[in-house]
Amino acid sequence: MSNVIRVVEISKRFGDIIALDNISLNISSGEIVAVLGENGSGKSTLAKILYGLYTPDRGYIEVNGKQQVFLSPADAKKYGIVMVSQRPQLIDELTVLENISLFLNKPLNKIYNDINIFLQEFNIRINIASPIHTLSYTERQYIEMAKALLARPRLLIVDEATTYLPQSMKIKFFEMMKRIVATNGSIIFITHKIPEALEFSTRIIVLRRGRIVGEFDSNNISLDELRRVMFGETAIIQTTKQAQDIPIIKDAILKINNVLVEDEYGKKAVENVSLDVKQGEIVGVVGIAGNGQRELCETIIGLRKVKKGQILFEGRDITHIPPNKRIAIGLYYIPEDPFRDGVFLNLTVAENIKIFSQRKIERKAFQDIISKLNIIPANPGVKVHKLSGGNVQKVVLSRIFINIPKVIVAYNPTRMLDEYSSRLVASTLTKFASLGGSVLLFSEDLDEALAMGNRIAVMSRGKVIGIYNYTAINRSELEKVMVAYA
Amino acid sequence: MIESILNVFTLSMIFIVLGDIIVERSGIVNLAIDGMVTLAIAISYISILRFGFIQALVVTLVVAVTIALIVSFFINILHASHILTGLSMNIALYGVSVTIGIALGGGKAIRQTTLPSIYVVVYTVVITFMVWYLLYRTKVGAIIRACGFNPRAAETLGVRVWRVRTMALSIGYTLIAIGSYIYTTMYRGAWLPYSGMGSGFLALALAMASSWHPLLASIITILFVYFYTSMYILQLAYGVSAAVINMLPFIVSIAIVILIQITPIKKKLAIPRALGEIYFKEERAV
Repeated sequence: MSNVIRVVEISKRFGDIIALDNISLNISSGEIVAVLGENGSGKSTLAKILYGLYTPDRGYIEVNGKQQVFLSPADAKKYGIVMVSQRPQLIDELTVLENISLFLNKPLNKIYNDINIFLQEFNIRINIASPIHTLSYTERQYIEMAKALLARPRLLIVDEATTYLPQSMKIKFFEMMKRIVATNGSIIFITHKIPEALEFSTRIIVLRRGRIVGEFDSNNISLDELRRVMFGETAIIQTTKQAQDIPIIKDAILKINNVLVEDEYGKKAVENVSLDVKQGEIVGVVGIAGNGQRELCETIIGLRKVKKGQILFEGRDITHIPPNKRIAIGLYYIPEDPFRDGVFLNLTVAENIKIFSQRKIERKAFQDIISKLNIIPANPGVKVHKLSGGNVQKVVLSRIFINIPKVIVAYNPTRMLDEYSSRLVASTLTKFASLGGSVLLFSEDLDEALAMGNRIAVMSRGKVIGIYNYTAINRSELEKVMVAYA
Repeated sequence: MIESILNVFTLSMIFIVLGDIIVERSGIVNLAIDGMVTLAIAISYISILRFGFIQALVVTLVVAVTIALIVSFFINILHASHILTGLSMNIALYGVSVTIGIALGGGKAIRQTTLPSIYVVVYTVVITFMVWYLLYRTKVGAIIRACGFNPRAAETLGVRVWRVRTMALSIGYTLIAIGSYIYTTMYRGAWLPYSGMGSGFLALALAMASSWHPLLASIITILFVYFYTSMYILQLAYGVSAAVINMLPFIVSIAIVILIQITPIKKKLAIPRALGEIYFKEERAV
């Protein structure tokens, strides 16, 4: 009996969206199965069903030849199925130790030493008696991984958790994964990055629109072929070109002087940050997640209070003016998670565009925007929650076309998007810059920042520790700078 | 001296407040509490008349846990709004309490028992410590608080949120029922329609004022009830206006809340962030 776990004919709908359609899958012990798919292909839903977070509408999961119904992750855990979530699912107010104790279902004193030994092995220095909210985002990801590995799982589900980890940590994590496989465990590795899937898995399964559209041996498949299967007929837009080195003689349009910002818990999140963006320029801000990028970004667009320092827009002090006035003078924001921060899900595409513009828009203008951005379905009357991730982000982008802004602040604008949609966003931003607009691009994806940015600023512990011209630095050097002070 | 600071009314309020804290720590807005208190008082009154003291306690507890399960059914299974559930339960329970109180009791007085004040002190300390220990030193407590902080993360960690919330409701309503029983047997000794109405909302406010921390809640409750019930002496002795005296308990409570909010104690008190959030596991988290 080499089959550890079988997924049998599983279907799942959310309202009138079919997330999974008759999926069957065998996972043998000692296997690393990569599940590859674009946004909205159902890969996360599959992971959540296996872990008991969702119950399938039809179909079942078979463990050791027996049919099982997982009503809760507690059930899945009984059979050694454990998941590392995309965003750390930990309780902020409880300590690291309490969180892991809840997860492992073991008393605090019994696991205290195990956790410390484990963290030492990974060279992670975290006081496990401190509450989660005092940890940085990356540290939380480490704890999320550590707790899963400490459970000695039989099936480990990794839901895009490794995508933005620093390279060194990623390698260590993959070593641990191999250890699980060596002891007859298995791994489901969910990702939308094709190279990652090729590198670390033994078998690759491609999902598209809730169906399995291909199953490959990782050694016998090329990147291009996988891409073709993953996206179907959709043509990939040309790779974005580097924003031109137009001689920048103009003054900075957005200037940040010595800004200090505190987070919700009163800790300094951004300290003494000075940064400027010139006209026609894309400035990338990179750093390990949770080092103050989000706070700085939200400060610039007016969602957070500035404790000290100044923000200037075309020489005008905008430090204390509200977000709507900042929008009115031409400072726009593209959030990381369009579903949460970018749109009203229960309103239609047209309504979403109208709310932003605050003036009358011709019916024809909607059609123009929709066809320019290729929003599918091309109907302004459709509710936004029915669109896929990429199309939702396009609705956010549509604002740029209604009133042309002067500066766009983007926070991980492609994080939730698949390759096709990311390229659309990237090419829109580069085109905007080439026409004289300015972009401040916060990104966790170094390649993206390097490909688009004229200058790259590195943030660590709330400070900007270096600003580089894109020609003067490469990826590995950037990584070294990022990790050095983290 | 002790009697004037800690009387049986204080003890009954402490039970009700602590019960409410356990419920709300699990993330459920406990608006049904006032109806529950009113009903529990009526039930304990009529069952003392008909059966006796011990049996009355049992009957009251059974009724309380049943109500807890009904609230749990609406909130955890049907995913109804906490506020709507609480408010409509209140209206229903007020009605039930008056109907059965008049039909089965009818204004008769019961033999009032007295609790020696030393026991009042002991019980106050013991129950406060027990609830604090349950919430902050046991695994069950950590799980209950986890559900109040972030039910989605708790579920992912392997907690069955609906079960934990049902358990918290049952434990909490048991304490609320005991508090109401003390109110009837030792404080009031009689029953009229709507006896005890308002005490539930008072307890809700006191629990909230303490940031849902059992130790602080007991201190606030003791002080509030002291000023609420015993300050008429000031009027007799010094001729302080009644209007000022009536304000005192509220002023003291507000002062304590301000004190908590402006001192570093606030940072130590993690409040249940997900209080009132309608948690549905299958909801597509985007």
